[in-house]
Amino acid sequence: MTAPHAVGSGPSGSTSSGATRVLGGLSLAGLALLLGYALVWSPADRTQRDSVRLMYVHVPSAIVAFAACALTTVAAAMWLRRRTEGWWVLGGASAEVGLVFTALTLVTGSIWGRPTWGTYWDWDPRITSTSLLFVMLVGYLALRRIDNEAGDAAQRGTRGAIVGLLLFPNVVVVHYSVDWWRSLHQTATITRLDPTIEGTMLFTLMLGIVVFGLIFAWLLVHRFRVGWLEERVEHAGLDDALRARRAEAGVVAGLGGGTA
Amino acid sequence: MLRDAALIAGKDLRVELRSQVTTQQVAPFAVLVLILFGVALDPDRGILARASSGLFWVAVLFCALLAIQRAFTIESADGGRDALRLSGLDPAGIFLGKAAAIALQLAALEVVLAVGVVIMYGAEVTGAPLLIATCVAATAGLAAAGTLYGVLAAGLRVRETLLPILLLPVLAPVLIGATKSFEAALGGVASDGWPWCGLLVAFALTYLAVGTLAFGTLMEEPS
Amino acid sequence: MLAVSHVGYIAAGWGIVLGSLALYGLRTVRRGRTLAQQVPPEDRRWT
Repeated sequence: MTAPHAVGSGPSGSTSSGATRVLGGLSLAGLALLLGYALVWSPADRTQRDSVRLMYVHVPSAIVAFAACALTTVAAAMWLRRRTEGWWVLGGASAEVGLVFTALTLVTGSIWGRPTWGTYWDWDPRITSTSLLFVMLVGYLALRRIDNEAGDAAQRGTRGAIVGLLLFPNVVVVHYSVDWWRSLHQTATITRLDPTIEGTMLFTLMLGIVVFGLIFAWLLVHRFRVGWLEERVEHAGLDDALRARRAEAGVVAGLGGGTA
Repeated sequence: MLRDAALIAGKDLRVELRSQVTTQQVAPFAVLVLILFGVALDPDRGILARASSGLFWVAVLFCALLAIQRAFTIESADGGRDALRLSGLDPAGIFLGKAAAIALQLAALEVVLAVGVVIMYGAEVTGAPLLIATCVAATAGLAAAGTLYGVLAAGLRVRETLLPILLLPVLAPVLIGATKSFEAALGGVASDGWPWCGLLVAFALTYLAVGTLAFGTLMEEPS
Repeated sequence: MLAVSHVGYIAAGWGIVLGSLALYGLRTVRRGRTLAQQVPPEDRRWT
């Protein structure tokens, strides 16, 4: 990971601050250490051999994805109680970052499954419920975007908040029902990790979880601030909006396609 | 609350009876889905008989989407939503009434589909009580969750495309539970199905409770 | 390190993850810069 925020945050402004620079630096340092442990210093697994090295990226992604999903639900609940903008923006930010990690969880799980199970996709309870989580996050984000277009701050939000509030409970219900459903077919689910994992392997896994947590926090803070700025831009008056649009056009042209 | 629910349910069902959309469009669609599954899955290899429970519930899900869309289209036309909000009816009653109307339509569709599955897919009923209990519980769950997500998507420009993506993942437990339960009732051992039926009951009760509580907040929102 | 199995899978998995996260991070930061220029500094509470 590069740290684009470190390139310099001039007076023109960005979403970086002292805190994100510290977070970004820690993430990068941790990532370097994790790469060392995951790819070089940790031993190969007896049964999975070196494909176990994918676990050090897959398991942390999955944990972060589900944590992001839980955070979205918390943010929705807080928004329904307090109705303050911050919680609304946080819900969207954690859902979007969570979507990225959910996608990565599915992709790495698939890549790991090919050498281990001999197939990219298995109807394992975790794969099934993670893929449903992916769709739910997509739906939640779609609803928020449409809700945003529909009107101003006073009008929007409740729909999105209800869906956000139900997001995590739904994922839990889906997970357990899928688990129950599959457990009838295969009495012994293939365990992804040796239950008696210990030593360097356990340490690497824990390190991976910490590092991915840091990366998640870094992304979340930036994404939250982007959402906050979007709100400011939307709330700006018509004159401001016009001026901003002109400025944006200039910036986009200048950057050669910075995302709008 | 219950009186309001009965009022709303009665109104929706009267609208349905008069417009005949369910009988003339949704029910034929349900039969069409069964025919399409038959064409898509080679009928000679016995796949249809083995998969009939799953296919039945997938067809029900598709029909439920149509019925839910329909239930909220009749409200958004002519400002019916505003009228409902100003009517002073209990929001929980409105929710239960809408859900009951959807549930009754779904129950009628399930009868059509069940006859279709028995005749066209050669399914064999071995546990009638389980079959009926599953239908009741699953339908209540579908209608409750459907009404809640239906009102969320109602009034939005893209509701037709948004509702399936919001609702179908949530209904995955219903699909799983109802299918497993049906497998037990259609040629399996009935006692295997009852725990799944319990899951369906729990799902339905949860969504009925959530909908009853949340509907007021959602109805107040202007859109 | 000499006899590492599944090198292709491991490289693909880690590559996709790190690449995607870097791209997403870059995109988010860029989006933030574009937006920050349209907003007066007092609205950016973190600076």
